[in-house]
Amino acid sequence: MKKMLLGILFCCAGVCLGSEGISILEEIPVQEGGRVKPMLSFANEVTLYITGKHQFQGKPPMVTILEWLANPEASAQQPIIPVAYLELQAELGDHVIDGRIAPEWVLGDRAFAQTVEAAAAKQRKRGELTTFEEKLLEVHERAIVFATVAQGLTPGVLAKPDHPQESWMPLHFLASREGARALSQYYPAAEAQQATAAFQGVLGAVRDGSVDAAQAELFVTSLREMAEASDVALDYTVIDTEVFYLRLRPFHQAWLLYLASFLFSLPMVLRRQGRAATPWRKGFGWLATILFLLGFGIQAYGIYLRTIIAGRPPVSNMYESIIWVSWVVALFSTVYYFVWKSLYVRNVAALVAAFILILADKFPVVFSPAISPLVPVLRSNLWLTVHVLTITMSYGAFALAWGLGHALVFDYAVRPNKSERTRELQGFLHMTLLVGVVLLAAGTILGGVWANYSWGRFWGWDPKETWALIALLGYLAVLHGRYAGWLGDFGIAVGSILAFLGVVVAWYGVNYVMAAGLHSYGFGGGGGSYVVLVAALDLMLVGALATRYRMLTKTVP
Amino acid sequence: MFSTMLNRLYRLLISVKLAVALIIVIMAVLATGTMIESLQGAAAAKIIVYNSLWFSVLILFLALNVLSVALSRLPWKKRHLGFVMTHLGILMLLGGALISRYYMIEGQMAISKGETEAFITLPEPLVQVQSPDKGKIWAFRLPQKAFTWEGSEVFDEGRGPFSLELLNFYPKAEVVEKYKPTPGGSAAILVKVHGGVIDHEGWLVQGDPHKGALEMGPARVLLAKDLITASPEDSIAEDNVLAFEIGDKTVEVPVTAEMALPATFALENTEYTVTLLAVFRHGVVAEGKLIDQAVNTGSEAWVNPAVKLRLEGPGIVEEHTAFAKFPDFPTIHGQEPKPSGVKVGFIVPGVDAAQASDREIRFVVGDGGNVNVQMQREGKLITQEVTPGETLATDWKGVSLEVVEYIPSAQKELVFIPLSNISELEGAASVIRLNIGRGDEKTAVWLRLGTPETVNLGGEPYLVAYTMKRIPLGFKLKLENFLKTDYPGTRNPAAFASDVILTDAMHGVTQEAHISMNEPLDYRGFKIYQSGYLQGSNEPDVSIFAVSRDPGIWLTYLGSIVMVLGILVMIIASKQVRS
Repeated sequence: MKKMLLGILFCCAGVCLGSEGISILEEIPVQEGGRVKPMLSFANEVTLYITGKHQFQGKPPMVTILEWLANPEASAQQPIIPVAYLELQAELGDHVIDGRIAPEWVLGDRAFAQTVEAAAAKQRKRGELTTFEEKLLEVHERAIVFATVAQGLTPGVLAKPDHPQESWMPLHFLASREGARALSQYYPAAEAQQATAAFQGVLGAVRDGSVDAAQAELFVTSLREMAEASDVALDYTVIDTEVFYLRLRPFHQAWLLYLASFLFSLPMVLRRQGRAATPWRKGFGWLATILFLLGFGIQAYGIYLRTIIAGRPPVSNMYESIIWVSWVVALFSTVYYFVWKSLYVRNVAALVAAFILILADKFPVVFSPAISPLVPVLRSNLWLTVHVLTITMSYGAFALAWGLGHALVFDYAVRPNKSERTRELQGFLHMTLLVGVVLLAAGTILGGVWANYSWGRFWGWDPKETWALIALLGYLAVLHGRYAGWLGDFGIAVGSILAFLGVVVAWYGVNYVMAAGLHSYGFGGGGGSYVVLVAALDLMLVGALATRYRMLTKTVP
Repeated sequence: MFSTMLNRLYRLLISVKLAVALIIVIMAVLATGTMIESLQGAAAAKIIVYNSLWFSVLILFLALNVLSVALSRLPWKKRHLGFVMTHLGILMLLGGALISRYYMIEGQMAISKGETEAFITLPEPLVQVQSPDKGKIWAFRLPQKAFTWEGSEVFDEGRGPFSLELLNFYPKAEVVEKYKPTPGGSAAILVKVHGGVIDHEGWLVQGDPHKGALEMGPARVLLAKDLITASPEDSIAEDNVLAFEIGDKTVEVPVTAEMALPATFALENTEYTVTLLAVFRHGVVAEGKLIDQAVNTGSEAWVNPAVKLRLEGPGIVEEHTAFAKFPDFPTIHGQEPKPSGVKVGFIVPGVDAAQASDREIRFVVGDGGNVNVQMQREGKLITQEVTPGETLATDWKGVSLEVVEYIPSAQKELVFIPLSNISELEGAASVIRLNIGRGDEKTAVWLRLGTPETVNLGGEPYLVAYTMKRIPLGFKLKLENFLKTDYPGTRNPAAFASDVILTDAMHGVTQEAHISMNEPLDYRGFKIYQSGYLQGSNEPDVSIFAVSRDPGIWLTYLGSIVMVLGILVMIIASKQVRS
């Protein structure tokens, strides 16, 4: 069933490159980064890390990795490592080709090595690094990772029979005589030789241009036989699940489906007020509903798969929270749709969910999709899961409110008079805000409960918790502004857009820009200027629409 | 007049508009607070905003507003249920926070494996002065400063016979050691080693156990007392000798590998007795212990000869280890000189320090105050005089050596350079400068957090320390074991935990407990959390616990529940849901 679904998806999407050999190799279990995962997962992560791209030169990551392994010296001379920082680009001069530099130069140049060592010495002493030094070290680190991958020093492919928890032996052991000798300590010589020959066969085939299924199968089988001969028990089902998850790309499919759903529902939504829908409009409407539910379903399935693979709820880093929040947006609108038949809310939700998912999909360097092990404090805790899920659900509610706010501001700016549509959206906006407030309040308090349980204090003015409180206060200000008579319907709509800025800071800003406090396990970097730009553009748009609305309401009493 | 004002105040307090204004002001204040934390650290943010009096007043004002609004709707009707619950909940929450703010105990406790601890350290800085006879300790509360501060502030007056004045406060400072020419000091050489990936500069100081050598992997540069003297190579006889340097006397005792051990003998003309515990032909350190590799190999060659012995004298029992090849081993490895001051040398003819010389470069100050260097040049041991500024080539691949500065008689002086509050620079410490007065006499002194200094007041030495307040818990914890597991194939911790024994003599309680991340130990209102650890290669594991007692937490929890239920009631009762 899984295979069939995949087959259809791939051939439709044109991802089918006809290279069955590669896909067999992708399924090899490897140990890297503190867990066992399929080679595909490693290839994706390491290609993204080294080259900054999902696919380098348009090739599947597995192919890229194999080419590096097959021709380590030649590939090291290729411009692979991205040098985006202009100051560094200027420093490196002609060595940078198309914004990239060759790992061989990075690791081989003596003067460069000294600059790197000076920066590294400063980093070891934990002195403050300049941006230039940070970027310098990043380029160097990427070159080192390239070298370890190309020389087959990572990932581990063969467990030590008695100690599978220790570092596994990497591919390098199948490529050298010393490696073979080391292997023979743990594995029967015949099997080790067979695996070595099979691996050399694969590399030879890569050099010749294509790996056929039989060669790949031979290598994979010999690895598996070695593991079995030495009683290394591996859970292949989890590996298979992860391969399936990676190939399915459920979150990518989900945003495509949401966007399609939005487009197909336009004929239904844009028909003139009070007019009955023609059968073709209705047909498109049904199609839109089905597409939306498919997107919702495939996203839910993706979250489920990720939970199975990681062995924990997927809410431990930025990427996972983005996936979850966009799903919650879809969830709320689905509930509204089925309980109150709210078509408008669903379309707004489709756009918001697609927008958030595209962010996650298109900025993998900023929001890393890798599944990584948790730091100790985050492990095995009911309160943590409840706290994070509640908080992120509130973000989902507020993201929906943000979308509804936009829809309303647009609507009012076009036609200040109330319509059936604005009345409906206004009601749902208010309810969504209330739901968001209760979830955020409860989530923040649950965070305190967890903090008290795990760190020994309920509240410590940590930036993350403080910003959650600021975001909450922002929405309270909007709601109370209405009770005080300061804000009307239009004001609430604008308010729900402005107040979302608090959520953006609490969610993204604290982790990626401030990078302070105890929530350091979710920290990352990058994208700050884009977020500020998008927020500024959004505010300008809302400002322009608000001005128009004011003019219209003044002239039409 | 007065009543109209009161009336106005009342109208203001019950208005929702005031609530909105207050909410926006608090938002701005909190946002500023997080900004300060991001730029200047959590401590600064707490001093400037969160723990300040005006912030408490602002929150109290909000509480008053919430209370007034809730009371203004009296008599409450059924439709007010959600509204009243929510606002009552907020008041309870704020009340709980107030109790926690003033009565919560939050400290830290670090215990080495096998040790027992009865105190916790609180984040409250103190200055402690100890009397010369150690009989009395005075503690002074240090004023808190958010940033690097200079000025003059007399603090905590009337406690003991001293006056204290804060002159400098550096939340974080880099500690730089400088050597200045001072009569009666030690010889000090600033050397620079560079080439390849090595780039190292440091002081070598005669007689300083921590500044004897620059270690660079297997190689080292050191300032030694004596030159290596190569002995004639043909005298490979079994006449090994233990040489004891006691003051200006040297006593020599013959040693063979065949001696019945332990062998005890008195050192002639001294008060000391020696018990020879072990003799190693090929001493190697395995798993932190010295063992004899020759026992395994069956070889009789003296590869790395060493002895282990016990020295007993009046009021002294100490263990010494001496290596024939590495006479300076204890000094170089940063071990403090033994209290007796006795230096033990192990002399094995044919196996002497010269054999180690391909891995070391040795500076020696000559009798005339000139500096000599002894090193291998093209495979031969040479000795030559060096002058500051001179660069020497070495036999080590591409590495050159420069004597930057030489001070025949120098004394260490610490210089403190203030850093940003959030600097994580290695070795950075919080530093203060005080004027300590007794009577008319005043002395200025720099103090590093946790490093006591001796200050002479009225001709008597007082020990002064800048520390954190420590309070007794009322019970003791002993760390039995520390456990850490890593993620497979990495050194990233997956989990860590401690096995402790709690003893409360007052209540006759002894209990074993397992404390792990997220699984604290609860005892008499205190909660003890696993918060961190320190692991060194040669030191016992240290487990770090956070200890807290929060008497306001129940009210906070109660308020939270009431508030959330209140919002839920409001949602359910709202028009949108009902329609």
